[in-house]
Amino acid sequence: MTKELIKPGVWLNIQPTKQFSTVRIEFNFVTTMDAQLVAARTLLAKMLESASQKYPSQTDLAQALSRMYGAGFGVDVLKIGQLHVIKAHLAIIDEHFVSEDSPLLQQGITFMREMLFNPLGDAAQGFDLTVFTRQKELLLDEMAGLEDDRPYIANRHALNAYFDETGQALPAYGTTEAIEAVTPKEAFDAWQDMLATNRLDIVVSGDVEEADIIEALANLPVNATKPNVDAYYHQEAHKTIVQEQETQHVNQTQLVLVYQLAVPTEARFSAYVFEQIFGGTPVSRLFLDVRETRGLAYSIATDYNRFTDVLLVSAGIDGHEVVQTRQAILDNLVRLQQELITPVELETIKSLMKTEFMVSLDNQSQLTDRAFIESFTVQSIEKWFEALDAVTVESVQAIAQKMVLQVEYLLKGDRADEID
Amino acid sequence: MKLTNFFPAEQHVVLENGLRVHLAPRPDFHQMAANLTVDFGGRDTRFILNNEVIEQPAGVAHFLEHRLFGQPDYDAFQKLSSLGAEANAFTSQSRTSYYFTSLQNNLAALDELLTFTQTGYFPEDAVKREAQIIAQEADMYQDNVDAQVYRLLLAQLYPGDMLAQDIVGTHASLAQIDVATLETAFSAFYQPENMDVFITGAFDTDAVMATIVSSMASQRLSQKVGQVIVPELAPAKKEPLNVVLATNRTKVALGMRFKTGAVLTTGREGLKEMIAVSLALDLVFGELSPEYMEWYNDALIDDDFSVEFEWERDFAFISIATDTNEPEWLIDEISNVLNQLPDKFATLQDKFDLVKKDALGRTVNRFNFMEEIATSFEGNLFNASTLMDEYDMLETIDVSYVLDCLRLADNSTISSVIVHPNIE
Repeated sequence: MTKELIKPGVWLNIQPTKQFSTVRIEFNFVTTMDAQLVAARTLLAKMLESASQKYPSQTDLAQALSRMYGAGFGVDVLKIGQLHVIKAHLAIIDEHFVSEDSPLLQQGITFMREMLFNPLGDAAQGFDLTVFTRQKELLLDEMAGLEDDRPYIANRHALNAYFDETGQALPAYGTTEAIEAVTPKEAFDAWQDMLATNRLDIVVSGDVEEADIIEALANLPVNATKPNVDAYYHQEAHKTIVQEQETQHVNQTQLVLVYQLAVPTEARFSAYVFEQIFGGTPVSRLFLDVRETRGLAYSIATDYNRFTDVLLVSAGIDGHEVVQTRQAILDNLVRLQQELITPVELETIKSLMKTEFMVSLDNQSQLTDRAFIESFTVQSIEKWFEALDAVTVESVQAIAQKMVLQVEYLLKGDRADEID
Repeated sequence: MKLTNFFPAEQHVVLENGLRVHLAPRPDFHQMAANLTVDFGGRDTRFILNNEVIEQPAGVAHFLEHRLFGQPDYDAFQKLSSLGAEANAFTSQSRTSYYFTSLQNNLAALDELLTFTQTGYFPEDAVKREAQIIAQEADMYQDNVDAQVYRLLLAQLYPGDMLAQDIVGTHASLAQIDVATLETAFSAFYQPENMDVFITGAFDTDAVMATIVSSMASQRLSQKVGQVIVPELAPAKKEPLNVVLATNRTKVALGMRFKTGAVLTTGREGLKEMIAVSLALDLVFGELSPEYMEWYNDALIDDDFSVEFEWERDFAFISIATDTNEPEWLIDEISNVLNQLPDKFATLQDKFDLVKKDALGRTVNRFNFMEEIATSFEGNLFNASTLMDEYDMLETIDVSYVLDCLRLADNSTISSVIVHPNIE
C-alpha cells in the first residue's frame, strides 16, 4: 500500500491488488461541514456526475462509458463525523483483459479529470441552466421520496433534537428549502471553492503501477488551501433529556432514543462489540428480548457513529406499546451495565464480526471506503483482529456504563387507531 | 486474452458414479461459493421412467426444492447456518440449484450440501404443510402484475405448454402433489449422473476434492435417470390478447420464439449463438438505435422498457415488456423490428463495438462476485460453460457472426399481450 502527499493537501492512496478484475478510482473532496454550503455542494455533485464540456448530453456520456467497456461512474455526497465529502468514483475493468491502443486506466483517469475539472458551465453564468434545472428536479423528487421512509425520517428528526450545531444535524444533502434556493452560479462557485480549498484524497485499488498513476495525476488543478480537517465531532452531554413527539398519518410508530457514547480511541473496539451485543445483530439483547421474547417491535436496531459519539436505538412499534418498549430498552441497557455478558456471547459476537470483516475484504468499494476513512483516523486494519480479540467482558460493561440518554423521540402513527 | 492467463486453471472431473465436478479456484478471495445443480426443472412434468410415461402436475420441481431442506432429524438450512454458511436455492424451468457462500475452506458445509440434496425425506404431514406454504407463494405471484403479464405472454407464445404455468404451481396443481409424486420425481432426476457440483472462491482443491469424493453425492450409486419428453409445440398465437389487470398503467408484452423448426444448438456453439443474439437485441433495442430513441423521446416507451432473451434446455425466446400509452401502435413498431432483425442490426453495425464492449465490461465485473459466478453455472446446458467461458466466447463474436445467427433463425410468429389498467 502506498500513501503519499503528491502535493500540499492532496493525498494519494494506492492499494495494489490482483484480487479484483476491476480497478476502482476515487477522488474524495473533503471539507468541514458548513450549513451554508451543503445544498450547493450537493447540486454541484449532481452536475459533475451528469455532464461536462466534452460530454454535454446523456448520450455522449453513456457512449464515453461504453467505450471504456461499460465503466461505472458516479459522484456522491456523504458525511463523516463533521466532514462533508464529495466522492467521485470510477470502476473500470482491468486493462489486462483487453488489448487497447491507449491503456484503459489512462482513459479512465482522463475521463475523471474531464468530468471533475471541465464542467458544463462558466464562471459568469454558472452551470448550464437546462441540465442544472433537470438535476435539481430529480434531486427534489428523490428527497420527497425519502419523506415516505418513516424510520429514516424519525432518525433524522431525533438527531436534529440532539445536535447543538445546525450543520451537524443536517444530512449530507441539506434541506429541501436550501436545495430549491441554489442558483447555477452559486453551485458553480461552490465547485471553484471545492478546487481551491478542499483536501483531496485519491484512492486507487487494483492491479496498477504506482508510476502510471502518479503520471496520470500530474498537474491537478486543485489548491487544497484548507486541508486540515478533523472528522471527530464532540459536544458536552446535556444535563436533561430532550423529549419530542410528532404525529403522522401512518400505521406504525417509530421510537428513537439518542445516547451519547463518548469513548477514548483505544476503547473503540469494546464500543463496537457493545453496540453489536446491545442491538446490532439478530442475536443481540434488544432483538432477542424486545422483539422475539416480548413481541413489542418488528424492527429494532442500534447504530453507533464513532465520529459523533452517537448511539441510536430505533424501533418500529405499535403506538400502544411505546411505554413498554421504552422500558424494555432501558432495562436491557441497565442489565448490560450491571451484569457481565457471558464469555460465549462475547465469542459469538466476535466470530460474527470477524466473518463480516472477512467478507468485506472481497468487496472492492468497501476496501476503498475503508482506506479513505483510515486517512482521518490514522488507524490501520492490520491490528484489527488483535484489537477485537483484546475486548473483554469487563471492557464491554465499562462501555455500557458510559451511555448517556440524551433524546427520546416519537413519531406517532395515528392511522392504526382509525376504524376502517 | 484467454482467461487462463489470469485465473488459476479450472478442474472438470466426472466421478465414477457419474457426478460431474467443476472447480474454479480464486485463492485471492476470502470466501467460497458452492452450487449443486440438478438437471430437472419446472417444465419437466412429462417423462419416461422404467418404460412408463409419467405425467406430473405443475410445481413438483419447486416443491422438491423446498422440501429437501427438511431432513430426518434436522433442517439443512439451519445446519448450514450453524456451520457458518449462507444457503439458498432456486428452481428454473429446466434446473434446480442449491448453493451456499461462506468463508474459505468450509468443508463441513460442502459435505452437508452434498448430503441433504441426496436424501429424499417426504413425511406426509410435512408435505401437506409445505403445500400450504407454497400455495401462499403461488398467491403472491398470482397477485404480482409483472408475473401475471409474463405468464399470459408465455401462454400466447407456447399455448398449452408448461412454460405458461408458474414454476411454483397453482392451488389446484399443488393439491395433486402427494408423497408418491415427490418420491417419483426425486428418484427419476435426483441421481448423481444428473447433477453438477460447481465451486469457486478460496479453497484448497485437494481438501475439497477429498470431501466431495467421500460425500454421499459421490458415494451413491446412480440409478437410471428419467427421460424428459420434449413437448410438441402448438403454434404461437398471433392475435394480441387484451386483459384488464390491477395496475394503473397500460402495458404491452411481446414474445417471439427462437428457432422453432430446428432443434436448438447445443454445447459451446449454443452459448456463442445465445450471446450473439443478446448483443443484437442490446443494440437494436437500446439507446444506440435512433429508432429506439425516437420511441423514447416521443414518450411511446419509458425507462421501464425491458428486453430479455431466455435460452434453456429445449426452448429459447425473446420477450419485450414496457409501459406505453399507445399499445397497438407500439406492438406494430416493435414487431416490425423483430421481423427484420438481421436488417435492423446490419444498419446499426458500426455501433456494434460499443455494445460488445459494454457486454465485456459487465461480464468482467461479475468476476468479482463468487456467489454470482456459482449461481450462473448452468451445468450441461452449454457443456459446463462458466462465466469465464462466456467472456472468451464474447471476445470472438463479430458482426458477421451475429448476422449469420440472426439470418438462420426462423421468422417466427410474434405473440403479444395488452394490459389495460383497472380504473376504479
